[in-house]
Amino acid sequence: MINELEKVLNKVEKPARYIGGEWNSVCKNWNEGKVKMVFAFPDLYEIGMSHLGLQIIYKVVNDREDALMERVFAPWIDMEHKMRELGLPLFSLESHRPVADFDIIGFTLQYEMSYTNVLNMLNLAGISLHSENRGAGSPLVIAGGPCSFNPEPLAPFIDVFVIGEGEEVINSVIDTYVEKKKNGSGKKEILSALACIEGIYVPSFYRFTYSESETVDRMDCDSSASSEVRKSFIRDVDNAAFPTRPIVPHTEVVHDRIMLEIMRGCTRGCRFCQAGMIYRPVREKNLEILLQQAKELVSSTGWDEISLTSLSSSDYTRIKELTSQLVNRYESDMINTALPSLRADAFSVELAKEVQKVRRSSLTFAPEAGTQRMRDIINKGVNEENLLDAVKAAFTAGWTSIKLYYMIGLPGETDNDLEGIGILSKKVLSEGRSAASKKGKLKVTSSASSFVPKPHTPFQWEPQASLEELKRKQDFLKQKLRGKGLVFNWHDPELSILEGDLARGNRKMAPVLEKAWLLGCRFDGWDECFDFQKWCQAFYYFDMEPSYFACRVYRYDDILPWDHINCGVSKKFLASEHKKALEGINTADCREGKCPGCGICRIFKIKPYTAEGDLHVQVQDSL
Amino acid sequence: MYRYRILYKKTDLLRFISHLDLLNTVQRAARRAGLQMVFSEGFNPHPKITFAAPLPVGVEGYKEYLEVELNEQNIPGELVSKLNNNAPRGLEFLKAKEVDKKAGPLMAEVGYADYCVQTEISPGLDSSQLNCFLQNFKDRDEILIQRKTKKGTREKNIRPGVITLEGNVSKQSIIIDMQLRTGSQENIRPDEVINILAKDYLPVGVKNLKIMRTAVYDNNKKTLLT
Ligand code: SF4
Repeated sequence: MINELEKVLNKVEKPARYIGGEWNSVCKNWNEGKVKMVFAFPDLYEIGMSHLGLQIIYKVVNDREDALMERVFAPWIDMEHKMRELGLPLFSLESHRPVADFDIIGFTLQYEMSYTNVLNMLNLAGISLHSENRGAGSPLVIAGGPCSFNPEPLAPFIDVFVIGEGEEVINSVIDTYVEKKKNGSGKKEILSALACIEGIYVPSFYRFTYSESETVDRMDCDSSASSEVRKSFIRDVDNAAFPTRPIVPHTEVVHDRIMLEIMRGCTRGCRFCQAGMIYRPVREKNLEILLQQAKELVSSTGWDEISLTSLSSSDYTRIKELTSQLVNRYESDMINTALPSLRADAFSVELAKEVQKVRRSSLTFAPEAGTQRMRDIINKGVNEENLLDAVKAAFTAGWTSIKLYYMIGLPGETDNDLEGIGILSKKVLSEGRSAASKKGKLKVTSSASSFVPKPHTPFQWEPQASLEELKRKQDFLKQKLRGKGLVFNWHDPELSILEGDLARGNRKMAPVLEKAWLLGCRFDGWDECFDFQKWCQAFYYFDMEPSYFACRVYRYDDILPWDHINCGVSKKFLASEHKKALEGINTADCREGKCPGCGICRIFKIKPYTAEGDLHVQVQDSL
Repeated sequence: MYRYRILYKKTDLLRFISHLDLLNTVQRAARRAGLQMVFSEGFNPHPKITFAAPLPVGVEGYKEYLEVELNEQNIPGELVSKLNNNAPRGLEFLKAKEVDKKAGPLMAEVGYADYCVQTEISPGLDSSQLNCFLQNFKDRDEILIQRKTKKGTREKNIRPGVITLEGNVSKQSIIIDMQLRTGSQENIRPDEVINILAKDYLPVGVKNLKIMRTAVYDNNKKTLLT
């Protein structure tokens, strides 16, 4: 295979994407008796290799004697053409073997717009798309990641979904697989055994009848499966597997640096944020452990930057200590410390100042909305004063470029709220005019993404704003964000609508997805590839509008297409959050000592903990 | 400050990484090896590593040179093994030597390079025919090609930069060896020579080449590390 591959590599852009052999990559002996897994990332190498989850699972599987894991990414368009032309099947990076030779293919579903790539990769591997057509000779196709919290649009294609954090449950999956294979069990028996593991969902064991409004009328499940699948998660993040010898890519990737994960979960409770709901509760890692891991990472990778990752890094209880220790230890070796995902307040700017001795990059804040009214609706716990304090501090400290992230199309949004985005961005700019030293270089970039309601959030019942409405809102904002020093970025609203369809769809989305793929859709998340017309064609083929699921309203007493997946946060809590949103009432973070009763701690018998120990909070029942 | 010149090779699949990727790869290998690199001053300090001549993506290099500045003295043999212990497959360090820290830039020393181009045999082409094609090339005084520059395309006579050109057809492949001017003053690429040959009807697949740079020399055709 190598020889054929070499010929192809001369003819494609960035061939380094396909060669493997990176530092710390693991290429184990291919012999019988080992479970052979391949981690499939349905996007480009540069995206997939920036994903910490891949590195974690890769380590966990390769640490086992009885298993091996290799990697495969979606080949870019030019590579796909060459592969199809020459009949070269999808191959793994480590041993350059056909993906179809592996026992288990594990996809990660990080965003909905990668779904056509999942189908395309299966097809390029020469594997049947439909689970029911894959027999004993076919690899088992599993999928995990945040999108598996609504697995239904992919249900016919995937044998097994892993719901929740995968690094422990993957071991149970492999154990079960090994045991069943030893007994000579067939696919059905393997699936039945896997279905007994907490966090595992086998879609073929469930049958749905949907109502006219596409909610669940009736769900039947096989006796070997349970009517509700609870997510799996890590109880003890300090002792969880963490890759201190991660793969160092040969070629520049999006996050080309050490990713030191400092905590899981976030309880700020922004009502649009799926990660904030599905990764509860907050679990901070111990400071000493982090410092030890940082040390090992520095010497095993040679990277020159340590990025402290989490959903909200300035919330880590001992963040000041952690950053100053890292700066003290590594500054002289020219190793930077970086803090993505900063809160919009002066404290965060303090932190950024400390770590960024050389202020070359811009600072990013996410006020999300332009008015206080709107921020109360979404429960974004920052106010204008926080933000302006933060930018003032940033400009004074020497930054000249500020990026602001907003969302448009939020529930209850009026033109007044959009106007507020314009006003707020201009206020930020004028803070710069009075505080910054290099006034000529001042730049305030406002990015507006379109809100997409996601499952397991308080807005899961809400319809998405229509395409026309989103376009109108964007045009409105373009008028409001003109002028020297102001830059406005927006996202393709058509892409957001499709994201909405795939996010809140049921199994009826599967044929549409397959049709879109057949029509040639892939890399939908990439502007140069996204083709809305083809997607429309796919919807029309099934007599559906292109916003069939996106703009759908669900009701509180409906059984939603993903209700059988339990993320720990109760539907009751989500509904009460939704009601509070409509009234503009805030909900406090349980970090501050009062539990609003999201439900997870009761169900899973756990408590949030910080780097200083258990949180002192009286866990409340779901209301 | 100590300056080292290092001989290395970049082969196999690693030939598909770009020059910038190689720079990062060497930097990271050096960091993992615990070398105390010297950093440039300024806003964006970077380690002082320089290369003799960049290798195009897809070209293997068997005798390539780089220089690195270190804050502490190293025994050359140990330096080589420390780097090798931290290098990915396809990158191998062969030899090191401490050089005068006041010497001029390594890049300016480069004058010539040997290339070996391998491609699939095509029916009916034997060694003598191949050599006819090559002789034809050599007999010309002027061979003009269009080169893309930042300011548009520019015409360039590559003939004087092609020093030797020999070929051989074996059972499995066609092999063309050439010595070309290389470096900052004059630089001819092997694919430019092959493209001209193909244009003159030499039946080779210009996209199916395997190119190796087998040596890099100074302006006196001497090796860069003795
Ligand atoms: S149950 Fe209460 S304490 Fe636990 S995560 Fe939810 S809100 Fe926080």
